[in-house]
Amino acid sequence: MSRTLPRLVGSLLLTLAAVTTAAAPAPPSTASHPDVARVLAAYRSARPADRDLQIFKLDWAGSLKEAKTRAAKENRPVLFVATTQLEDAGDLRGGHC
Amino acid sequence: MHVRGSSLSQPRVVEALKPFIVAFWGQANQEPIPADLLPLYQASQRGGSNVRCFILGPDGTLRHSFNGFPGNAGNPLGFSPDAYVEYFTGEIARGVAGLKLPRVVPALKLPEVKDGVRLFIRVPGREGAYGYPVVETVENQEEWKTLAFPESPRKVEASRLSRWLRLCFPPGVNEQLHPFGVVKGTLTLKPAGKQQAILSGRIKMAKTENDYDLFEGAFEAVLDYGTRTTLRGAVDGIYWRFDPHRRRWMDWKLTAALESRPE
Repeated sequence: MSRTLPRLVGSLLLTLAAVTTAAAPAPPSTASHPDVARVLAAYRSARPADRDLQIFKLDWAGSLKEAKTRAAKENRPVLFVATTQLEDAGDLRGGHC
Repeated sequence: MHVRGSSLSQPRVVEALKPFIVAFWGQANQEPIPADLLPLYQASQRGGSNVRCFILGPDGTLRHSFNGFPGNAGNPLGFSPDAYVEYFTGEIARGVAGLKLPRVVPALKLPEVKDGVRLFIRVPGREGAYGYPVVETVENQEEWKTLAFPESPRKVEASRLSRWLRLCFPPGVNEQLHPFGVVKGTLTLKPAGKQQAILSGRIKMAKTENDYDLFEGAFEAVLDYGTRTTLRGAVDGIYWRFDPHRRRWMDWKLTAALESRPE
């Protein structure tokens, strides 16, 4: 008994492993093509983590008028940033300014 | 713009601005200051730089204004990012002193597009204004058609993807505030299995046909042709920036991640 049970358990595990393998064939993984895996790794490496995107937690309004309207409704203060004397103003929100 | 890079992007400043609604106006080509801004300028202190920050209460009244650069100086390079953080958080606190602030838990809201591509452009290893990513979105027009599944390898002119690629220029660079005007290079689109393809090749970009190429690098992407086309890719190259003080060109590494939206 003591020798049979481990053997039974062992073969059950082997069967389960075989069934598991048979039931879950390898998906058409993106990693199956070496170029695909390499390019996806480059994409992941280039994409910033959330901690580097904190500015997108700021609650932007499109204009002073919109900011004031929302501030009154939501009982919130406004930070308004203005730049002058530039030939080309760019877009502060986008980072090109 | 150092206000964005050195100040507004810093986690401590973002934290201090949680209760706020933030807005921006930039004067271009000496256009008149809009009528609703004039009272703010008139009521604020003169001097400082060309960047002014105004804090308004919920009722719209001006509570505080301050120069966009610390020390009332016009030279943004004279201060470290940490100095900007100290300065901005201090001025923000002054502006709302005595005001009961609502508790706001802001979510990360990245620019979104219904059907198109989102780009994350950055200059790795740079500090301040240059160190924070720019996020752009481009609504699809003909791009998916251009990149239809290739039965065999085919050439794709990079200019046909210029609506994406032209956005790959650094943040905070005063001499380039707008996307590239010229995108050059020939890419190859080749199948990588039954439902995928790889797009790859070298690209160069310039502001105009008559300018130097300011960017040169590689663009690679994986396209997946399921029920709809999806894309994940990266641009990796060099942005040439002229240093007027040392009279030499600097080669800045620039990367961009591209991802189709919706996911």
